[in-house]
Amino acid sequence: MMRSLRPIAGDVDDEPADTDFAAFYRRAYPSARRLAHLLTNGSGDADDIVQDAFARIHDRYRELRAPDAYLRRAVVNGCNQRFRGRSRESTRLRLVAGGQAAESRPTDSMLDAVAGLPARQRAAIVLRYWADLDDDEIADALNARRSTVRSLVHRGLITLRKDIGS
Amino acid sequence: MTVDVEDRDLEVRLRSAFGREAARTPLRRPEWTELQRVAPSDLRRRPLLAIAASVVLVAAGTVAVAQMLRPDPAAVQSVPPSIPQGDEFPLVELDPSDVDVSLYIDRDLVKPGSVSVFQAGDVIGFAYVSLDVSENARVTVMYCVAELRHTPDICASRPSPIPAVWWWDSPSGRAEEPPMVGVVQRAERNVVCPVRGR
Repeated sequence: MMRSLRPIAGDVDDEPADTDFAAFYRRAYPSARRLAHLLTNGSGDADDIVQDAFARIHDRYRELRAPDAYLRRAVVNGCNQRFRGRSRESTRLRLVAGGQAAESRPTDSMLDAVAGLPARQRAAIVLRYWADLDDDEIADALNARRSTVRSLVHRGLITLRKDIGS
Repeated sequence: MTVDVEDRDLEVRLRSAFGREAARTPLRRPEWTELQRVAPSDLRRRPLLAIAASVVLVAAGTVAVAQMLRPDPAAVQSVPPSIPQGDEFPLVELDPSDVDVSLYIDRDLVKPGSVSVFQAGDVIGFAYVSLDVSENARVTVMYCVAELRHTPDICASRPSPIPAVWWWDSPSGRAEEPPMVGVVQRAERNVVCPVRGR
């Protein structure tokens, strides 16, 4: 019944064409992963979102003039989309996995308050106070105007102040 | 002025909280691999409900036929207890030599001694990581639960490489890892599982 099978050597590691992108991946992955983790409140979707972003970049990497900014925008978009509607697959897989969250959720009251913000306010707050981006960079990541960014941050801080205060 | 002080205090607390949480972020993908060229969102866009419904229908039909042809309860009893018997799919013991899949296993994702459930194109089954997950670990396909040979719409539209959805249980039956998305790279007779090195 059982059948042990022989491995094939050398198939997976042969990636001569990806040298530049692999270097970009190694450098950019940690911050992209942390950004996704913060934006999703450690819900376990961060891995998929980040992989999604890198997969989108992969095929056009050589055409991109600012791959870091593109990656940041892709991660933010992915997180926002994920929050707007979780797919049935994700829910189902989580059920199959025994209801275990992929990562331990943060219990910090400040992070919980941030997680309660609307998606774009949350993204603006994280990009400003974790990534230390300026208004222009946040505007690029959110595909918004500078004035919108300032408004998002301002309203986010007001909400957080209320939530933390209460 | 009071508002400014409050804002600065809030900003300090935000930076501190983000810093702590960011430091806790698990980083499990040290290198770019072929596996990651498939975007998970592409996989999610597939008609999952239709696939799931087809799986249930075909599995149920397969069970009925198998029971008529070979009503041997011992076959089902031989399944290790860590496999969630009957929870998601009725178990039917099929010959794994009929399974035309080739699986790449990421040793960061699959633990030795674990039992994995896989969906590979038209087959759903269990695979057992039989040795330590080193460079040439072996994976044995144990049971093929359902074959979707009667769903030509799905089979005809499946992409190449074929996406496979993985999740797994530990021998104790408790899920230890999040479900991950892997890729079946080739369709071949027998299952061949090189393990990607770090």
